[in-house]
Amino acid sequence: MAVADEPGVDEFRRSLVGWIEEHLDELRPGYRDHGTTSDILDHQRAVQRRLFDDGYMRWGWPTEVGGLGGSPLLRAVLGEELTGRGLVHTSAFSMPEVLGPAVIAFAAPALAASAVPAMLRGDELWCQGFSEPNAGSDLGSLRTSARRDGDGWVIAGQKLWTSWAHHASRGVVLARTGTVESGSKGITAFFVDMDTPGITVRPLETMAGVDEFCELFFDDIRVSGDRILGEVGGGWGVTQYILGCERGPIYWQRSAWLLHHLELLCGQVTPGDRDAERLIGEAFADVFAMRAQSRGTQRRVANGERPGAEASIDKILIASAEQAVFGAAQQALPGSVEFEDSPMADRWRKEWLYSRAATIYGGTSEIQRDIVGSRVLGLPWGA
Amino acid sequence: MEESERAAVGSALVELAGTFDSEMLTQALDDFGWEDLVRSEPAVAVASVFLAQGRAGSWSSALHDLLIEAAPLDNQDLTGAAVLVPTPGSDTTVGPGPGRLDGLLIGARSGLPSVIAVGGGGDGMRVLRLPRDELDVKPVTGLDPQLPVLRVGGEIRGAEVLAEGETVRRWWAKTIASGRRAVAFELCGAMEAMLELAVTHAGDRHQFGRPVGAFQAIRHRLAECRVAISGAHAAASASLEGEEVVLSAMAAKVVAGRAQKLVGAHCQQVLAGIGFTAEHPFHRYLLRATVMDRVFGSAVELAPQLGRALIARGGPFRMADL
Repeated sequence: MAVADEPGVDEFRRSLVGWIEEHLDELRPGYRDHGTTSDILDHQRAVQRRLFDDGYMRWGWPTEVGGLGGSPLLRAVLGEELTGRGLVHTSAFSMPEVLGPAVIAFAAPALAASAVPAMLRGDELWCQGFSEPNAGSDLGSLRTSARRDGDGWVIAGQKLWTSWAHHASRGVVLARTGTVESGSKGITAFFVDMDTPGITVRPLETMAGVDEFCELFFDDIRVSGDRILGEVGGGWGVTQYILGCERGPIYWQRSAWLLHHLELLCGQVTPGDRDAERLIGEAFADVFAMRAQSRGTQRRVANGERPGAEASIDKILIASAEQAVFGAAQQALPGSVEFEDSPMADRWRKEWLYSRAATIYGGTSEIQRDIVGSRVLGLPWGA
Repeated sequence: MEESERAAVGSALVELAGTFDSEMLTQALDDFGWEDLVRSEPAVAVASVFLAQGRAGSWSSALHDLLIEAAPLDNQDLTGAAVLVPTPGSDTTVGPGPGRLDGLLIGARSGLPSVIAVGGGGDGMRVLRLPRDELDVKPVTGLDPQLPVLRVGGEIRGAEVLAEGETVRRWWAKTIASGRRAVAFELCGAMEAMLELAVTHAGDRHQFGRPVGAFQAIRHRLAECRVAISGAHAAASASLEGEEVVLSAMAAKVVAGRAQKLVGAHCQQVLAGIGFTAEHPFHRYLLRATVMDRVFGSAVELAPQLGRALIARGGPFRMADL
């Protein structure tokens, strides 16, 4: 079912849902249980390729980078319809939304024009090398260095918590180009090929038994000067841009993922269990508030605004909602998470464990509260 | 109504509710054409008046006007009546026992000749109209003496049955949903007022040589309040749209009710000693929010009801469409 030029949200959704129903068998994950990271990413690549070839993955992205144009809301609808049916995992499917817009905004046009379509089609997976062993919440103190060498740069240092780096073809890497004292003003963002000699990737297993995060080691890797995103010393602006994307637009599909799991949970609880009713009611109320708040953000972004400090509110709300939904499953299904080895129990177990990081990754809830305190409420910065 | 016109009406109503209180506000709303507005633009009317009323700590007959207008009963003229609000713990206003009445009037107009009660007998639900002068009407001081509450009880004698059966169930569910949305907005307003007082205090009050708002223990409490209020306001606004009117209203009320508890506690703690005095305005909003959380079911009562309804329908619905 083709879509007309510049479809509206409703028209796009109707066409997309028809397409999904038609291709449901190939879109459904084939793996058992929750799937390994490789399973999840391989499946997602296949889904992205089908979506790209039939156009759905291209709507809402600029034509200069292989998109078909139209409102970014179309991307939100796509994510919602896929994660809302559990067809892709929301964590991995977030990546295009987190890094795509920044590469479009800050990379040299020719680089964006070649890299973005490959990423949208699932041929390339990207990762984000921000945090370091000694620069987590205090990201501005990062120590990975980049020094000029001829017309290129040499990067040395270490990154941590880089999701999917072992499967990624490229990464956005923050490195210090200023002095040690330059803080956030001396940081530059690079778009690095992950097969560059000198990069070592070591996956870390999470407590959920998933090898999503990685350590990255840069042993004097050479990066060409045209791989800088934005300006030299302008990396903090790129970082804020990416964190804005990470704390806003992707939450629409994440909320659909939560609703999908609430639906599964509603079908699995014991009828008449009052504790289950209360837990589901409270979790739904959290998702309702989060989604209502997020809708405002989606609309602002669609109008060309940046999510800004307000997106920290969205971040705190979704972290609570996520923990409420999977916490409800852990509590309301007696012993399932703790004692059962069925595929469904394994899924709840992994999601419940993963949700415990929701208040930590992408900027802890404490950092978000500081941002809300100062930039939204106007309180004096603390000591 | 055009979008710009809606916005203008909204801000005019906010202005009124911020300026006038009690019967004066009721009068000001009447002069503004409140009743027509509730009929023609209920979303604008509710989102503006109840938020502003909560923020100002004022009251008016807006809630009862809304209840009588929001979900009209087929072929019945309810003019001159006030819909009784269930007393906490009950969903209806007839009972306990088929022949007795129990309900609340919260800021209702004083001269109305009759009340509307709803309740189930053996053969289903009924809507009754009763003459007010035959009823037992007692003022309630309670936790919030600034809010005029009447408890209406007594034997049901000579009630006029306006409707019965399945239509009543639907009408009552919609009426309660309408009340829940209004109260959710009012709670948001009261929370905004509490947070504003606490933020101002945190900037003004110095201890250990710096404003207390520079301490993370304070900043984080206030930031959590901002997050809770934003979520509650967004939820209340989202509950004005969509097909799932009853469940959306219930969810918005749960969100607002849970938020008011958190905001009341955090702001009280930040305001510390001064916030505990009668001369500081904080307590007015705390009391109003605590009382209004109870109206049409508290968050604690409604959360399991909401969960039960979602389980019964096989899962949640997708609210707040793009």
